[in-house]
Amino acid sequence: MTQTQRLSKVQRAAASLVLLFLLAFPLFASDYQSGLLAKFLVFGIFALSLDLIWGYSGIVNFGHAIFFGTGAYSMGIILKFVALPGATYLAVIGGVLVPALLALGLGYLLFYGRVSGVFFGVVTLALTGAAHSIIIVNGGITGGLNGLYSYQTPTLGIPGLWEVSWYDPMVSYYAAVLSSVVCLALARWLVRSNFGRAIGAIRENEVRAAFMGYNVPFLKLVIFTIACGMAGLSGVLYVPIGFISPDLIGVMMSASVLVWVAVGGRGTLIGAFVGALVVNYLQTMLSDSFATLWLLIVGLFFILVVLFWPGGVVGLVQTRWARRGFAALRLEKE
Amino acid sequence: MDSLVIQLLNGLSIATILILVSLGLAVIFGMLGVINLAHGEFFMLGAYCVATASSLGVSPWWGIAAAPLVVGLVGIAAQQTIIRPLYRRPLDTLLATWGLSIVIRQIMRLIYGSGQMMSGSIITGSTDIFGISYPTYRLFIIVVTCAVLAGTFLLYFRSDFGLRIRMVIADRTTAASLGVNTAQTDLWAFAIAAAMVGFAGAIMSPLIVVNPEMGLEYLSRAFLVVIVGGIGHLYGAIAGGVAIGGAEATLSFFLRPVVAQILVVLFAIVLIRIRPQGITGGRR
Repeated sequence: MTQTQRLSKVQRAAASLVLLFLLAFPLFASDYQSGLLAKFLVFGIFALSLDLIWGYSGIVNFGHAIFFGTGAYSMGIILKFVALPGATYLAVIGGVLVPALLALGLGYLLFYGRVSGVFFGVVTLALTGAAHSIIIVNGGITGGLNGLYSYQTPTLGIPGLWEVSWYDPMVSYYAAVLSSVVCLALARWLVRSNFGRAIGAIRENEVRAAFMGYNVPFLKLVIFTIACGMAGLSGVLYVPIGFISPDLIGVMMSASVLVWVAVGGRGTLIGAFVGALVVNYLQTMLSDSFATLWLLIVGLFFILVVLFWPGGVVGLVQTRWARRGFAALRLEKE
Repeated sequence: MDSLVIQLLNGLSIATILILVSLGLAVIFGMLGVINLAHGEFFMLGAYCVATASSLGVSPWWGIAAAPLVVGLVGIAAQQTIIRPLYRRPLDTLLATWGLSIVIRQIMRLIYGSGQMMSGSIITGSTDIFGISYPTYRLFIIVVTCAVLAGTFLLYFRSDFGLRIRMVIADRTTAASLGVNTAQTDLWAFAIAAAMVGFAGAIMSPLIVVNPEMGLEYLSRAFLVVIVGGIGHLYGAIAGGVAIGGAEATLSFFLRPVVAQILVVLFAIVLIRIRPQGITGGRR
């Protein structure tokens, strides 16, 4: 599943074109449209972080929204209660570190408790409910069911000298684009490193990897912490685009991100963005009155993808390409 | 003293229902290695059977009688279409049944709307027991659950069918080569598990709010029960049910119910770190 070879010329050209398109998008699109695309990209980063642990490490996290939501809430809470010039940067760091530390603690208890496979999924599902309740119970800090609001406007730039509001559509859009590229590059580097190969070995056969001398719980803990920090970052990026509400930590959010990754193609990294884009775009197309029906379709589609099409959209394209390449090779031989 | 008795009865009634909900999960996992994330939705379907009967003006007892049949049939359909093709891919079964749970929730929402429904009360009034007055219906649930549990144990340990289930759990390949029809055993075990949780939903429905979301809460609690108790065995479900139910009842006495439930989840996770094999671990 892991692509170890370098990007082909075609792929490089395609990637450059996509990047150019993303950079130029606000020039010909309305603020609403670039806001929407920024949101999809942020969800793409969120899905990417899930793909790191699910597609590459075989850890299914049914509570991934916990880390997304914790990132968003940490950002909002720091912005609300810390009144310093550079508070935004502090909030961003907090928004990444708090979910990462949470993942570290949780991962320590679970991975070293030898909870793996389906049980990890199940425990994280139970935790989602608990996390949602924690947000609602501590209304004084989190705003409870109403969500968190009236925090200071996050600003980027140099505090005191040159500042821009993060709420500016251009700023939030380019922050999302830049972060997407950085996160994708980081994830790609990570899965192709020796560390990534060890993770792949654990995914394929945990017992055998342990016999080979790999410290399985430790490696899982590392990738889990990194991925959850990345999920936290996506939560941070979401704050200027959306509302901080308890729904961010809910079961539906965790389910959605699983669907995005499954549809886009797990274990492909780029599939996370494709899935987030495709599903969210279709969802935006259908009006809110179809919400129930839409979720029904999503659920059915999810079942079908799992049953018949485990590689998702990107997986399908890749196998087509691979097959064509293989056929071309045979032709050359003959 | 009185409050102690009430606490004990509360704990017992939470524990019995958790055991009833978790039993099916435990057997299915032990047998197929499959975790059914639509289990909570089966519970919800059972509750809706009673709510539907009430809204049609029929006696809720008919709803309770229909629930195991309806949910059992849904279970059979689910087993045949999405679970059987995925036996060798446990993680994917987890995902597929998760998709199924979304589908069932949304179908119920399309039919009944997302609002709450009420099941008519079945037995009202209270009974004097151990010197205190306790709602009769809760006592009825405890008694019925114990009867169902006894039935399950008889089925599991004393019948030919139970023997076949235990054979398949112990060693699927050997069981098959000894002439056990594993496919059929799987199907019936799944159907019974679904019927059981449907029944649990039905008898619980007069005490709780019936809405399309209700399954999720019971699902996560049932999983905690199975994991804490020890995986894949009937005893595990019982030990876990007593532990989680007891902890919930005790904590609810001192704290708000929400806080109590959060603490129970955290308690379960710490317990997993200390005893990964669960309370009954070692005798799987």
